[in-house]
Amino acid sequence: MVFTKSKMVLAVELGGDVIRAVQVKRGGRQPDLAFYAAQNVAPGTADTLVERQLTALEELFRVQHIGTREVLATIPTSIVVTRTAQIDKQRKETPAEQVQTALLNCLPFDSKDLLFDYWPIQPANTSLRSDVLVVATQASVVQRYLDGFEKLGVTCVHMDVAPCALASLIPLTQQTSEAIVGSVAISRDVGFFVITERNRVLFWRPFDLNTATQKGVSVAGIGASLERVGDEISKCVSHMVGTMHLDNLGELLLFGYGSDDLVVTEYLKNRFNVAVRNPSPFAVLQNGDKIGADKQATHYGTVLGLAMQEIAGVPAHG
Amino acid sequence: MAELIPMAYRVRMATRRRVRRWVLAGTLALTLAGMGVSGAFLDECRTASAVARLETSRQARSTLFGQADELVARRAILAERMGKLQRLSDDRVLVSLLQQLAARFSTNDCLEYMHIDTRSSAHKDGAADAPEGVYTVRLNGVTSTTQSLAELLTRLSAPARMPVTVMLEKSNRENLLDGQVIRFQINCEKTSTDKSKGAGNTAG
Repeated sequence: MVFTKSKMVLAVELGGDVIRAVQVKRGGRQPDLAFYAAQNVAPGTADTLVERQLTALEELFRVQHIGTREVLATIPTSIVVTRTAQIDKQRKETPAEQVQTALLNCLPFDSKDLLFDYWPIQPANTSLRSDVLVVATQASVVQRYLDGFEKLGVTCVHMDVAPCALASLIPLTQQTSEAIVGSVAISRDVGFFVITERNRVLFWRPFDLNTATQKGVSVAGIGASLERVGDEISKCVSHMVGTMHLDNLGELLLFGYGSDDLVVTEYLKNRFNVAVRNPSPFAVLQNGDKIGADKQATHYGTVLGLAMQEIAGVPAHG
Repeated sequence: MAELIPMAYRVRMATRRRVRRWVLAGTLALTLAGMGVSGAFLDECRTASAVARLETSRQARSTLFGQADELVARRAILAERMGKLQRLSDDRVLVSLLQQLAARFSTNDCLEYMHIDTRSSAHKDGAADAPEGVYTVRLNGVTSTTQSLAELLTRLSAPARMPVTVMLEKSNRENLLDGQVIRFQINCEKTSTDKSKGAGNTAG
């Protein structure tokens, strides 16, 4: 087994502009935080993103004197393709082959370089057709990440996408985990909106905030382009209502830039007529209260959700 | 949640981790075994060294004990000889016998060597019930002529307070200085009597 019941793990969110890391001791009644840190990624083109992120991670390792040998990582949403596919149980092809066929028409890269995963987005039923949410990326890019981790002397035991990692955190921040929840995570110039039920991702959509940066707005994030974020959320809600027949969004959670801005909170509350919260992700940890006052705390939602995921059948807490 | 790590990589990592564990366990086992063997070897060396030290000590003590035993034996022999001498000096029969024999020598006779044996001939042969108080005196000396030798034998054999049996064992003529003398060996034996008993010792 990769994981034992009590183990220190390092979770790393490989963002486009910044990487964030938390080291958590799993296995207790509540996971315990060892440290959290962030490191800016040097600017550059998209094709050098992996190398720039690994360089930033190396710097983070050097500064923090990290001795953990096993790493969990999320890759940026910008290099991941997501879509909903339908599995027909009557067809001869396996579900994986059907997913692969469905992806062929929407891949922006060579289909031979494909790496994907999928999961059902509807409760188990007896119907012959079921919808699955697929995430796909380039195998060569993943391999570059894995090679980079090996050069740093660590082994990546789990690699996920950011919305799935955030989805693992959301049930831990809720009073009732039955409701369907929408979450917005905003970094400096990109973000995503994800709809989750319990810790299962039903749908997610990435968006960028390029209009804000192009105008030279100094206040980065959601506060500078509220209308655009609102439109993106509106598109997602429309999709959710139109294709998934879900219209009972329980609440909206905000993470990242602008999550502590009252203007943003009020805007979203009034536009979608839904409760808006910005919970501190560190509250799910045993010693998380000490970090609650940190204004950057909500930026660590994705990476803390990653650290709280069940890995190889071993939950984060006993 | 999604898993984007390729299966081949996961298998490779699991294999590597397992190999690393086995190597670690093997190294640990080898280290422990090596430590055990080294410890046993060092213990063996220490034991051998201790045994060698004890052997050396034992040999030294054994030599000392041997020397002590030898010294004790020599002292015992010396004490026994001194005891014999004391007994002989206290033996009045022997003194009287020697006085008697010495008185029978004339001016023509010269005693060179005298051997006194206080054991009887039967005692010498190992008889358990051999009588004690038997003195055998062997006289070696020279005399001027065969006539004087005969006269000496006659005087020695003459009746006296302690009768002795005189026997000429051998005589021969030989040159001495600017003349010739008769070298003789006479055996005088005083047999045991009830009145006088010897110590049963030998003195030369």
